[in-house]
Amino acid sequence: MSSPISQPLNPYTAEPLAPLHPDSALDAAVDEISAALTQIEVILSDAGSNIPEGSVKLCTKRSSEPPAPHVPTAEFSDLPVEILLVIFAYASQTGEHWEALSLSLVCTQWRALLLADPHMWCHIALVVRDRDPYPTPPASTSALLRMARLTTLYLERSGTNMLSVTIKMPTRFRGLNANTPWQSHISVAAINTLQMHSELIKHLHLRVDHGLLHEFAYEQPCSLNIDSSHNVPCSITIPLPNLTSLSVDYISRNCFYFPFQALNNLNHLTLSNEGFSFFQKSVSRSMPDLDFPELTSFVISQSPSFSHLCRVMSVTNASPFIKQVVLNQMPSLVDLAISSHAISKAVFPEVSALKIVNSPDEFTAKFCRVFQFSALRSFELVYTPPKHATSSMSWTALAYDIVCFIRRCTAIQRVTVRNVHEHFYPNAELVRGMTFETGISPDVYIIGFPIYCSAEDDANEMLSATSIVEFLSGFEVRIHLKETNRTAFSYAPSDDESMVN
Amino acid sequence: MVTLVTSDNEKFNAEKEVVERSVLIKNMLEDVGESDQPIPLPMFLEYCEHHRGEPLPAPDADTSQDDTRKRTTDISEWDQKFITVDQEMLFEIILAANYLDIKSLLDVGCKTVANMIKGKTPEEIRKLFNIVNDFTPRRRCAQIKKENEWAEDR
Repeated sequence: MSSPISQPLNPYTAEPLAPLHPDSALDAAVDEISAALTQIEVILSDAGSNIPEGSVKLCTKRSSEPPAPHVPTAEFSDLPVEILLVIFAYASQTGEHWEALSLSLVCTQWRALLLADPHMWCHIALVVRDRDPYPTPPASTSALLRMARLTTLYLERSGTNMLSVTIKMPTRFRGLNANTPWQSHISVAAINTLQMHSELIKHLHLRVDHGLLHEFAYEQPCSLNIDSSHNVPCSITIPLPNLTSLSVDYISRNCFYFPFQALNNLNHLTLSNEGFSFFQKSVSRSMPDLDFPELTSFVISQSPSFSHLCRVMSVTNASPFIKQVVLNQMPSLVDLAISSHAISKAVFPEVSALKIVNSPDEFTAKFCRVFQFSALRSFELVYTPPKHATSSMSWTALAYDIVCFIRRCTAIQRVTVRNVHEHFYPNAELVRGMTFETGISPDVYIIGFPIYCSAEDDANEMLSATSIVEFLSGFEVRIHLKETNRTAFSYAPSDDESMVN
Repeated sequence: MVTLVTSDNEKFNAEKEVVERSVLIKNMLEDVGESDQPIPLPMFLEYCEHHRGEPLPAPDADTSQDDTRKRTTDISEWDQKFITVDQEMLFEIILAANYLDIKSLLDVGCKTVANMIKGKTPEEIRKLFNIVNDFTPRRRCAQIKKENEWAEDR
């Protein structure tokens, strides 16, 4: 583009996506679609249908009204194929209702696009909804048969591409084994089919009970009752050499071992919900032999207790490449008494980035008082302002604990405190110059913090980030003085420490 | 400062840094150089203004994207509010983001449409987007009939 632009352009007449899609890519796409059309015709003619050549047409609009000026009139059918493919990819790779199948049955154009791209069929979600808590055996049978057929269809259409698999089934769901108790071995055909393709699984999300985990994880699951005494692996686990992300949402609290071994390419691990007990409660029992040599990010959700959290986080001490730990929806840690014993347990020298989200202030405050991260470079707190200010702990008390935490992290370079309702960038105020007596001087980003108010703060007061940091710096000096004078490690806000100057 | 002119000849002044989120405009500015010549633009200043300061995606962002993570259709709260418009406007935003080459906005639009599609049967999708079912009875071979039964059975 070299000529100056003097006339207004009509954005919809110019060729879209030109910079992103060179001709060769477009040609390749056209070739792929042509190949797919041929394939469809073969399928259709095999099925005994007499379809004339070149019969696949574009979808047509029901309305052919000309667009009125200055009023938005665009319709779905105005979107170019490149954009359709992006939309289809998002829908088919994140949905849990066999979206690729539904999309392929909307119209002939969509079917051709879907069948031409094996990646659209790579996401397989075996999901039984909680809404039907006690499915009758015939309903279970029909759901399982459909799952098995669709799993086979998706595996055929995805070719040898990597798979993303989600299995979500409520504990109450026993499938064909509706009358068997939870400890009994059960068999689900779709899961057995997926096992045979486990080498292709790249992303795996499990929200199942212990029985189904047992069924999925082992090549030859034993038929013994699966209860708390069944706490050793019963056969070789399925190979998952290409697994890069694993999310385990819920496992019965009776599951005492981590079923997957040799996850050599695992980058992202998420462990959620109170049920998982892969990490022995008793300190006298050894930790499971977990080895995630490539793990870079670790998300822990809804850990039930302080000791459990420490146990799970000990994975980080054996993962040399771990970059970020995210703590999500944590409890208030009622079992945590702040003591030197607790502080000595919660030492994690490998973690370089830590993020706390969706967790109550009580958790953050206790966490900040106890946990030690000597290599931490980045700390981010995403807080949700309480709906009722009176129900929260005071802002000043929380700020005090955060400042105490930061000054103990001697490698810290960046601190972000963000209101969950604020977008990261636009309202960020970077404040340099918060230098600690310990010698550290991190970049501090405050995003939306002043909205946070407890009962004693003025709800209408909006302060600048600079004044907040001045306020925090004031804290820091006081903490330093307290520590220098070896005074008690406690804090009771007084009137003169209100953040409003 | 850059002067932008919409297709109905309304003029806006905006900072260069803000409007350069559009690769198209960035290229135009580079080609035109420093000039008083107005540049035409539909109404996307609000989006670009809000995302000011965010790193622009690298030209090869498509290939360098971290594909070890599972794809999601999560949309940030602000973007979600921004994109909560009627269907016609949503499609116009997508078309314009495509034309202006604003990848982040195009993604938000596509994710929004994908979220509208998720969980719906083929017939529900047709109704939602006013699409004609052009599988003629002759074309409804056994395979498609079978698949339709699976898709409806939920």
